[in-house]
Amino acid sequence: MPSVPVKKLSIIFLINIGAALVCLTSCIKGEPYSSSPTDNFEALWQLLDERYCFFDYKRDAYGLDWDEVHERYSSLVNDSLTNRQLFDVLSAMVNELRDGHTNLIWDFGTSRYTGFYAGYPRNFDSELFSRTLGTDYYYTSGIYYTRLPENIGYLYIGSFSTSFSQRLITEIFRYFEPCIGLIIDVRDNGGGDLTLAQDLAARFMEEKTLVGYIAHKTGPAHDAFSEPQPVYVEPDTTLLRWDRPVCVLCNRLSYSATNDFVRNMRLLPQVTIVGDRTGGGSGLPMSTELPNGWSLRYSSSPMYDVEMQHTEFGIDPDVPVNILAADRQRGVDTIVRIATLILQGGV
Amino acid sequence: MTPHPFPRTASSPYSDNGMKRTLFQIFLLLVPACLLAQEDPQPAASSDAASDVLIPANFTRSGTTISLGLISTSFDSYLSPNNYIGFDLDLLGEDWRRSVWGDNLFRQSIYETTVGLTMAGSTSSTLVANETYTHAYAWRVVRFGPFDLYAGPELQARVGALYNTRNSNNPVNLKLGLHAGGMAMAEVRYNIGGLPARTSYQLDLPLLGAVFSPPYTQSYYAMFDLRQLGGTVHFVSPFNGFSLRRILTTDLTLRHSILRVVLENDSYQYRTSTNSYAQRTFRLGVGFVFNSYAIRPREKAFDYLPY
Repeated sequence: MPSVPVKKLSIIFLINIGAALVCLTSCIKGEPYSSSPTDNFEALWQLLDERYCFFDYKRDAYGLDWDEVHERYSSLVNDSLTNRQLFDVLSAMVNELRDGHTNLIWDFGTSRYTGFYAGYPRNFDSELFSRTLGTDYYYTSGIYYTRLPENIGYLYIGSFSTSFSQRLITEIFRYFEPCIGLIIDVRDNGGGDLTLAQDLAARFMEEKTLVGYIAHKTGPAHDAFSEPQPVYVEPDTTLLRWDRPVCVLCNRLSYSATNDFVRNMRLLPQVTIVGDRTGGGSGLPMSTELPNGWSLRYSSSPMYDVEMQHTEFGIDPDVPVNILAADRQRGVDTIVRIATLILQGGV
Repeated sequence: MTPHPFPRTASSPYSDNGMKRTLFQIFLLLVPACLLAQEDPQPAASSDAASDVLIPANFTRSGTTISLGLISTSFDSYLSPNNYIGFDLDLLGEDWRRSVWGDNLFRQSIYETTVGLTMAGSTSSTLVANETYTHAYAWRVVRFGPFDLYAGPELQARVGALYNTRNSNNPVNLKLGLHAGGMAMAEVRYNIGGLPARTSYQLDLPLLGAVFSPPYTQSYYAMFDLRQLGGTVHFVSPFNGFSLRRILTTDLTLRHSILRVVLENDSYQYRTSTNSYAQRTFRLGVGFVFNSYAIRPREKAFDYLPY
């Protein structure tokens, strides 16, 4: 009877033991759950320290010192804090970044930075908006549109979060065919789908257009960025496009994807930006989590304009206009009035 | 003289060899039917008898099991730094057949489909879906009585996604991986209550491969809408992520069927220059095995036509 080839048979068991040992010693795993306020404070500070994309820009812009922020806020955190107290402290720390895209999200609240619009003229009024629209207007997919008495098309887009089709834009352009110009009102539009905003801008372009650049972080260092890559918007030439004069109306609440829309539209020769400075928000946001499960959204990828300048703090209009009190009393939206004059060739 | 379109070759049914082969194939086709038809299967004479079965070239052992798994680690640094744990449901299919290249070379295909739910704390959850396909060639390096030891190269493809229900801007991360590695399997055949059974223990060890992984915090918008895909493919080896799948399989004959019980430990992980991913799961599953015998390819069937 042949002898059992113990040596050969044991090979697989040795491989198994060795593999299990290597696996155990090289296990990759995430952070365990922790509800400790100090753990979560440190995790939040470190996540932002390694992933937030505007530290250098904001250090130059207003002297942001993230290490100093750590020192200042760490003294406010201890393990006796309640969840609400911790949330308030962490929210205040997050708002040191002055970034509407950076939010801490708890089940019972979301931190918001309001400094990009609070304290500035609102420059949008629902009553005046209703008067501008009148009673004869269309509404669909979050879009209001009508023809103004001056034979100018008026298109209000309150959000890029609500999707609308290219067919709708074609139909609106057909409806505006007799018009001498078009007003696109994106005031109070807090953004949404970047691709939707770019597809809309493409309907005003004749050819593939360089609209800016985007980079992304390549590591935890504050200055670790990829080479900025060009961003092009390319029109679909089979679709109806608008080549007559356009005024884009914006205010401080024109934020994020709307800021990107304004950045793209202002490159076009037939477009005039009217109103107030946009709110900014040029960092592409991402989400992550703290050890206690609270969600953190932060700006991760900086987007630049064609001159490689940040638009994080907004874009100035070509024609700055605020709503005048006298116009408001008469029920007239000053920004729409000025845009109408521009399109009529009066300004 | 015009040659006959279907000459009576050695494989023709009219030749002795061809006739024997045809009868043998008919016999093999009838064997499973007989086994299914009989009420009281005859016990094998001994474990040695079970071990000495000649495996024909057209034999295929197909096993399918459904398993419930415990995910002890689910971690994707692109989505969250937190460790998630949960459970999954797994469908595992295995095809094992003798290769045409030799009596001791076997071909194995393993299909594995998994859907799972993982949690971290009380509010965060992630949905997991994975499809893994492994194709291996196993050389029987040792045969000693009822024991067999196999080893050989394998190719493993993994496709999947993680969906973090709380992330608003980057809720999903795709998982794509292609790995070359090795497999090893020890198998023992025996009888329980006079009925044949087998147990195998298999290791799948990916050694070299490539995975898709976003560079640090690059967005899917940049990768796919702007087509900036540079730096998204990373090479992996045991040095930046040691992955291992271990499968303990037992096939038991129960009257007309073969029951399969599987215990699996799958550890898949890698660390790229900027992101890390790990998933470790323990699964217990049951299923059935079907033994079948392939009929010859259609074009060769002409050899059997009585012209």
